[in-house]
Amino acid sequence: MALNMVLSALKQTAKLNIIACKFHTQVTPLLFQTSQLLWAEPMKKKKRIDPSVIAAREAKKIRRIEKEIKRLTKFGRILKPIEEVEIDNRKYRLALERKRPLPKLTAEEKDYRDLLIKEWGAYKSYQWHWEAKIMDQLTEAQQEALDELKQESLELYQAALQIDYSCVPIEFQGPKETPPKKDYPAPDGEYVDTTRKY
Amino acid sequence: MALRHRHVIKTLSMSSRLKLLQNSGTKKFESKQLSTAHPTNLIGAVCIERYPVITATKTKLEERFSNLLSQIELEKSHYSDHEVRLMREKKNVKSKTDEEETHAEAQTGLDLEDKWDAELKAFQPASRETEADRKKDRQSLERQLDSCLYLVIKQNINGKDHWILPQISWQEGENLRQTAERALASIGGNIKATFLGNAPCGVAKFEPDKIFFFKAWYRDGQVILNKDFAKDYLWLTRNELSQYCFPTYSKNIKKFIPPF
Repeated sequence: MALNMVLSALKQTAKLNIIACKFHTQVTPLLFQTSQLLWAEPMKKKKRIDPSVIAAREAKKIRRIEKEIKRLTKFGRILKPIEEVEIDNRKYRLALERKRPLPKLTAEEKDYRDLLIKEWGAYKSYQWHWEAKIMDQLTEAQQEALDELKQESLELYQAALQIDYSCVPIEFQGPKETPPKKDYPAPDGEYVDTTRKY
Repeated sequence: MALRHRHVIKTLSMSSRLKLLQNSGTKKFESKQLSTAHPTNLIGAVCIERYPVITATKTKLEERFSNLLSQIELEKSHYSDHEVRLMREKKNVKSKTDEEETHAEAQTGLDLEDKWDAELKAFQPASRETEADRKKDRQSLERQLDSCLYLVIKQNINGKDHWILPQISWQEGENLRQTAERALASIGGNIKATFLGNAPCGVAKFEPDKIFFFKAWYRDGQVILNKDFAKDYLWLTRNELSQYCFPTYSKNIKKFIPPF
C-alpha cells in the first residue's frame, strides 16, 4: 500500500517536471512580427531554355576559342615590325635599280687617295697628341694654382675645392660655318610626324 | 680609404673653424693665414673668354681630305629622286622627237634646278670676315670670330701702365672666386659671364703679389669702361697677348690659355 503511494507521488513529480519545461520563464513575450511585402515587383516567370540550345551555344564558344588558338599557333605572336631591320622589298629593288656605276679609278687616282688617307691619319694622330699635351699643361697649371693657394690659406683652398653645381649640366653651342645674320627672319618650317602607330 | 677619411676630418674641422670665425666670439681657432698682416698680397683675376663663333678655316690638308670624303660619298650613293626624274625627262625628250608629241610637263627638273639656284643666290650668308676685322678694331667683340678672345685692360700698377687681365685685391671674408667676380663687376658695362668652377685655373707670382686666375665664359653684354678702374680695354686673341702684355705676365697666363 505504502509502496503504491510512493510510486504515485513520484509519477506526479515527473509530470510536473514535464509541464515546467514547456513554459518559458520570461515575463514579457518577444512579439516578433513580419510586415507584408507590398511594394515588390511581381516575380518573373523563370524562362525555360531548351538544353539543346545551351549545348549549341557552348559548342560555338569552344569552336571560336579553338579557331583563335589555331590562328595564333599558325602565325606565332604578331610582332611590331622594326623598320630599320626589315628590308622593304620594293625599296630593295629600287636600290638595285638606282645603283650609281662606280667610276674606274686610274692607278694615279688610287695612289693619291691612299696617300692622302695615310697623311690624314698621321695628321690626326699628331693633332691628338698635341691636344693631349696641352690638356696636361692646363691641369698642371691648375694644380700649381691650387698648391700655391694651399700654402697661403687653407680656408681659401677648401673653398676652391668645392664643386660648383651651377656648372652642371652645362650646354655649349658649337661654332658654325658662318656667323649669324642680324635681324634675319628664319623661315617657318612644318613639322610632320611620320611615326607609324600600331 | 684612410686618406679619404683624413680628408673628411679635415673638411669637418674646416667648416667648424669657419663657423667659429663667423661667430667671432672665440678667436681660438682663427688661423694665422687669415690675419690682416698677410705676408703675400692675394689677388683675384678673371680671364673672360669669348668662344669662337665660327669654325676655324680648314688647312690645306683638311680641305683636300674633306673633298675626297665627299667624292667617295657621292660614288657610293644611289641616284636620288631628282636625278631619276632628270634621266626620265631626258629619255622622254628623245622619244618625243621621234614621235613628235608636244605635251611637256608644266615644270621640268631643270626648271626646278634653276629655281633652286635663284633661291640660293638670293640668300647671302654673313661674311666670315667682319667690319671690325677690316678696321682692325681690337675693342670690338665682333672680331676674329674663329678664335677665342680674351678681355685685357690697361691698369696703372706701381706707377707703370700694364696690360693685364682684370684683377682686384682679395678682401677678408670672401673666397677667391668672389674676388674674381668682383673684378668682373668693377670693369663696368653689362658683361654677363659664367664662371667655370670654384678652383683657379692658374697662378702668377710677382712678389709680393700672388695672382689667382679664374676662367669665365662670356655670354652677353658690352664693356663700358669704369675709368677709375682701368684706362683702356681690348679683346685679344692668344697670339696678340704678347704684343701688349709684359713678357713674364703673358708667359704666365699662356699656361692656362690653350692655343686652340
